[in-house]
Amino acid sequence: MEPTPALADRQQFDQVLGNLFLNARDASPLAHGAPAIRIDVRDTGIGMDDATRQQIFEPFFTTKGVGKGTGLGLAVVLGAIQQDHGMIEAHSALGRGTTFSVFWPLAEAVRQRCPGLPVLFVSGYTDDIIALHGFVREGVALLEKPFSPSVLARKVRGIVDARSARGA
Amino acid sequence: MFSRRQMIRPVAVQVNALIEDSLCHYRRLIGEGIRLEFAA
Repeated sequence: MEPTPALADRQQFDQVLGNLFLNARDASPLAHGAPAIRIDVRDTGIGMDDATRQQIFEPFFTTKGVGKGTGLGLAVVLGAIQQDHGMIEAHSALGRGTTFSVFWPLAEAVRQRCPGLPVLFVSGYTDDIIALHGFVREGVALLEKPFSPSVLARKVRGIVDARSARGA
Repeated sequence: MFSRRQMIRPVAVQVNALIEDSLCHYRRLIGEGIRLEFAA
């Protein structure tokens, strides 16, 4: 059976949907094709229904027993991710488990948005290999793992001082 | 002024078909970074 038709002007219909889509895009922190790192945390546990899923990021909401959960874990997670301009999604099926997907914007993307921001790349690869892949450019600070606290402190001091010297 | 206004012509439309026809257009509009899913 054909669905019931609606009464609408085609151009206005396009305008309405187009504007709603653009609003949705602008409300998405990682929109505009910003590249991101994605981390999925998946369990095959009890899962949750939609009503529960919609409340999980609220402070003090917990399904764990009294004295077992603080209700703060996911609120803290959401706060941290939002401060990094990232995003988190939760997908769940009752009885089948839950998947949390976290999206962090790439440091490269953040640098483009905030050119003055000091960035220190940390990697387990040697800088030779990274340079080979065209990732490290002139003026990009790189810290190779493993490193000691004092080496980290020196690197951070170095890029912060360099930034102050530029008058940023 | 009023002559510049577009004529509104409301007609009976199949909304699902209309959206399906324009999906490509909407996807271009919002860019590649966003997945647009259409559930009819």
